[in-house]
Amino acid sequence: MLEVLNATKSYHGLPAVRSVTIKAMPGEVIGLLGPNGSGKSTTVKMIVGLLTPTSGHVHWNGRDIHEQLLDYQAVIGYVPEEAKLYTYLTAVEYLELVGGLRGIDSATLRKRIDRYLELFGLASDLYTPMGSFSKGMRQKVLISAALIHDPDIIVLDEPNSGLDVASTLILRTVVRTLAERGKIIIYSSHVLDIVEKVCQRVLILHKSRVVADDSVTRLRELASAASLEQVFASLAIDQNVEQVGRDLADVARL
Amino acid sequence: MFASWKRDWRQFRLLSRDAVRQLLDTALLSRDADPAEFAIWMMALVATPTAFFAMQQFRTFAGLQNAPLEVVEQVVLGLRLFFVVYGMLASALLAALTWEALFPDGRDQEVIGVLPVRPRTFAASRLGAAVTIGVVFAAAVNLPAALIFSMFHGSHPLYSGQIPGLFIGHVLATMLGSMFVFFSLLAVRGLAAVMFGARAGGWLGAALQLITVVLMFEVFFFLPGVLGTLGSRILSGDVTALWFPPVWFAALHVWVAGSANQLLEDATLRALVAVAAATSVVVPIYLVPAAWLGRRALEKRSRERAAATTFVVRTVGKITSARPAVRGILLFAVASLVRSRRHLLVLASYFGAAVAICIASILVIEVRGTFALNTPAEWVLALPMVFLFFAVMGLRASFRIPTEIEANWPFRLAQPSLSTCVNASVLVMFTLAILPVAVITFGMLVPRWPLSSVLISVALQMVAGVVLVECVLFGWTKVPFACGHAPSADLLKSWWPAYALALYVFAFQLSDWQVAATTSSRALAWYLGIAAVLIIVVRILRYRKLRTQVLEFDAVQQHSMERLNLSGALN
Repeated sequence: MLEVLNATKSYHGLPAVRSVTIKAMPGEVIGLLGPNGSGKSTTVKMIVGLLTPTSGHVHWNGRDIHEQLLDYQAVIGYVPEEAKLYTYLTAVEYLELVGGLRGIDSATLRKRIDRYLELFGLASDLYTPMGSFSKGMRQKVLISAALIHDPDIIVLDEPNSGLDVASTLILRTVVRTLAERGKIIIYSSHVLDIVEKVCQRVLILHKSRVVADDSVTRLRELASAASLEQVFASLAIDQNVEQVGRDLADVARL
Repeated sequence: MFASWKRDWRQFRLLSRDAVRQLLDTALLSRDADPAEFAIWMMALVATPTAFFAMQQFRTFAGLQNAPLEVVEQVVLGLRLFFVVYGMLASALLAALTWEALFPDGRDQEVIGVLPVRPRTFAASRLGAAVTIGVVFAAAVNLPAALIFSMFHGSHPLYSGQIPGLFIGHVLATMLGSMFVFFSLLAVRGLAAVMFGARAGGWLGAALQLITVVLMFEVFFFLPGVLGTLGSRILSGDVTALWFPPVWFAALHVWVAGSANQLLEDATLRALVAVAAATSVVVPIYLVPAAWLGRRALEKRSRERAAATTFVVRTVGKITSARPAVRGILLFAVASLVRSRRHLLVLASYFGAAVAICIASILVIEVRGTFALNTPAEWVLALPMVFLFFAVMGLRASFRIPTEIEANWPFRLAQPSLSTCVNASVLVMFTLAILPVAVITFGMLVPRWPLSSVLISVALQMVAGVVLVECVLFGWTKVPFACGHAPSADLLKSWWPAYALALYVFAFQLSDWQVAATTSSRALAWYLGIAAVLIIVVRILRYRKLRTQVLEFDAVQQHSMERLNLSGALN
């Protein structure tokens, strides 16, 4: 079980996340929602062990992850928010690096890389440095890198960013299938529609705090809303979006 | 335990391989250039002067054929010191170019930080890659010279049969000297980054690059003479010479080749202790705080405030041009330049060359005994002209280096006219090169010269600057810093003699004319008249040329096979 217990993270005294608590069981897909700057990515980085909470803990199987960081990171797969990778490497080189660092033997690694590239339609770009890849292509490489070692926990931070419709649908199926196989999946996204369809439970972060944590159905009932979008709007949007939209359209007339 | 070590070793090897590319990528001025090609060119460029210098020693040894041993030893010691110093400076330059990539950044943390890799393994891999590059670079710089110099040295009757010893001594001395400097600078950089943050380390890098470039120039102007004197002091037993680190490594060379000088034997020990100390210091500096540095790279929120830069940029925009497109490009160019470390490093190199030439000029004047600042003199006016020349050339070179290749789409969409881009480029050069040099020249000369002479000199200097800017921007068809490709080094490779000639004419010939113009109205009229004609002619020619040209973003394909269009012919 993965537990985030009262985790708070501050940067130079300013809290980015306050007292976040998440409990995730194997087979569960948890959605993380929130407006820009609400603390989603900080929460995700604490979960993957990149950031240490200023207070609180992240536990894996009952132990703090920072007491067992190497073992914990061996079972985690992570797709970062931005497509950050070494762009002077080819996709194969990058996946070989990541797979090698995770201790996968060469023959198995090669088979997995070939299969990922084939399934993601990148087989024709074997010798192209990723610097010339589109955002979607880089995202596919990052997803492959996150899954290549068959992790127990998969943390996806805006995984649909740059992906085309087909790839988005494929990713949805991947997430469902992996959840059925007992993986824990944390899915951070702005795309409410996908979160609604994929996640069993949703956490909504607003102004660095968790303002909702329940199943989509229950949240809809509680908020008397027809969709997750309406629930999100009632909990996490302070602005009159219609008015701001109209004002924005008028700015160019000033 | 063994399994853990095995895993760490495997990860270290994998990461080291990648880190070599990462370091070369950092050293590159443009992100889409080929790191391997860059490495080869860089090594060839830096190794050539020492190899040529070694070849020139054929005449030296021919002249020493019948000289007594003491004389030969003194000359040879000076030459050995030269090779050691040059190797050290080359390594300093390499350290300044690559050390930025030794510490993990946010991307490293996001890519490697989530993998089961110890931070120290990662830091060790980066350090290991840096050492590999340092050793390969030092070998490339020093080995050809070692071979050539040892051959000439060993051909002298007093050293017959000693070529292997001389060669090994040369290689050991220059390589260890280079590695000593490389490790020491990495240690200093590491300490600066740990204690004062990455930004201080960045400034330190720019300063070191400037100093290194200056010293590399000065090596060829003065060092042979200075080192000869130093050599004679060492041989006469002057212990103060031992404070000069290159002496330790030159002593190592002498010791390996076989010498009975007690002072040099003591210095040899210092060389070995210095290398061991530098190595033992640099390793813990990078490995001990590795985990903390990794966290800092990820946690640091941008606390940079660009208020001062923004104020300068906006003020410049307000006072220089009313046309929105020109002002937009001007603001973009100035902001890009002052906030891009890569571009500042390019300018630092050009500035270093200017400083080196000015120092050389001043020392020559001092030696001649004609150093005087109270009256208008050619050499005084030549100094700001040298700075102006290198500032304009440096800006022109940095214009071609893109800041963010993929971010130039606003220019591609807006497609400003060519004349707008050229006018904005002229304004950038005027703002960042002509104006500052003129203000500094004015400030320096006003207390010493009559005001009328200062005003005329500064005005003529600015006119010359405008002519230079108009000339260097002839054929310019790009938005500064917004190219869609890396600059080609071909132009520099084939045109450097023309640049040297242009510098001579611009800085040293025009300054003569400027002095004449301060006292003769006829010379002043000629100066201004020719400048005006040149500006008008260049502008007319450029205007005519621009009518047939379009704004360029991508590289122009010049492969001969493509020009032949064989596939088209077959169809």
